[in-house]
Amino acid sequence: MTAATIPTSPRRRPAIATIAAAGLGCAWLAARTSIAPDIPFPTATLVVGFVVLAVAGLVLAVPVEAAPAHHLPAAVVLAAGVGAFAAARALGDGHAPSGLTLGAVALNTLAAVSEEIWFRRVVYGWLAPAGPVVATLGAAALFAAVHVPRYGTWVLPVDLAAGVLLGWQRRTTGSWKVPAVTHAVADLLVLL
Amino acid sequence: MPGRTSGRVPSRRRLLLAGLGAVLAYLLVATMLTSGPVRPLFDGFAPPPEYRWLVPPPAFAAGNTPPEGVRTTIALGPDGSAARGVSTPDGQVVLTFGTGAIAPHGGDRSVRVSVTPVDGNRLRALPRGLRPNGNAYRLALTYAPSGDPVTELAKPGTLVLTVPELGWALYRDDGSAWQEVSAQPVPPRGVDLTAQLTAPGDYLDGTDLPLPPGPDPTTTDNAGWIALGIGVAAVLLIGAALLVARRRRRARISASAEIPDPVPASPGHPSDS
Repeated sequence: MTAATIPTSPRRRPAIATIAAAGLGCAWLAARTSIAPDIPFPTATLVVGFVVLAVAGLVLAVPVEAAPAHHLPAAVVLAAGVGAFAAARALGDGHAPSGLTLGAVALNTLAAVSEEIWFRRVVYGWLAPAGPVVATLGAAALFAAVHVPRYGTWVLPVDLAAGVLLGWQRRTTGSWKVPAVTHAVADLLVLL
Repeated sequence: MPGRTSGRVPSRRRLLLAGLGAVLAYLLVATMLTSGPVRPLFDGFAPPPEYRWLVPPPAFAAGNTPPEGVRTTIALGPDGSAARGVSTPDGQVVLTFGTGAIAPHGGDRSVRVSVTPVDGNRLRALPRGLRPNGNAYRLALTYAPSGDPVTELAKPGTLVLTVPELGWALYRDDGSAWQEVSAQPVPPRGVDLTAQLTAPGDYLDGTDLPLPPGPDPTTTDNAGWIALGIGVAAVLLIGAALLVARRRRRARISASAEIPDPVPASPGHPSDS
């Protein structure tokens, strides 16, 4: 048992504080888009916020999940996800207002990795006791929901479908790292 | 295995099929079920500052704050104008004039500077089929007290123009046609264009990109409540998942407790079977 995992025994009560922290993290991700214009040094504040989110996501305890007896190579899973996002970029003609700059890439990568640690490690991990379908769909639903305050409800289908794809990567590899790389690449594609 | 969240062991084939389904579903949603330009993912670090439209597109009309112009004066001496920076209050236009940027003019003692936002769609069409990218800005320089216009700068200044999204070309209308102005995007976002300022006129950036999707005014106005709701939903969802898992665990424990352990047959005592 690692330091950041807990066994789920009938006698072990759920970590209320960890679940509450998961809720707070999701609420912060949803609220950041509305508070950013009103806070001093918004970029620095958001950088700190994402770093705190990532660190908290790595140290928070999550239930131990049984690794699948059969799994796919990480490279294959990564290629499938990146390929899907690349195809969507080519076909959807959508792009971010800002250009491909080092700062934009760095900030978007930080956001992508932090969110994957949060959704595909913490949220997925705490939903996993109910089964992989619940974990995948639940994490994807929360991932899509936190982006509604900024973009509107019309992006729910796209972000939900993307979240399911990232959740499949999480389930198939047993780790948040492949979804994190995929998410970072997807954010990079948006800037191109 | 005690302490583990066990479930059915998925086969490799099942995992592959699930992945194929996820990919296809995503591509279907991203390309066919959503109208307008669609990004691979609506995500990112943080939203850019809201652009101030003079005539906002429909998607940006709700919550739009009109842009502001500026009127000011620059002192004019025998050697020309004093060094001066001029900016609209909203920061969407920033001008920098160096010492002597405007030549002396007879008995005039100052230059009136006027920057006024203009609807680019009401100006002559941009070249190459480009569409106006944000507001046009009319820069006027007038000697005072004579009222004579400044037609060009004696020394170039700089212009920084904020645009709503990536633009391909900055133009200046010299009164007869659009002239392209060499401009560079300013990091980190690239939607601030910097160019050499050589003369007054109408300045407008052009782009051939589709309009970016606008924010939903309903959701942005209620962002705080939405965030709270999402946080509560996360807590409830995880709590429900753990409750389900606990019940399943108890059911498995109860089921295993009802199965009696077989009694091993001892030597010399025949078994019942």
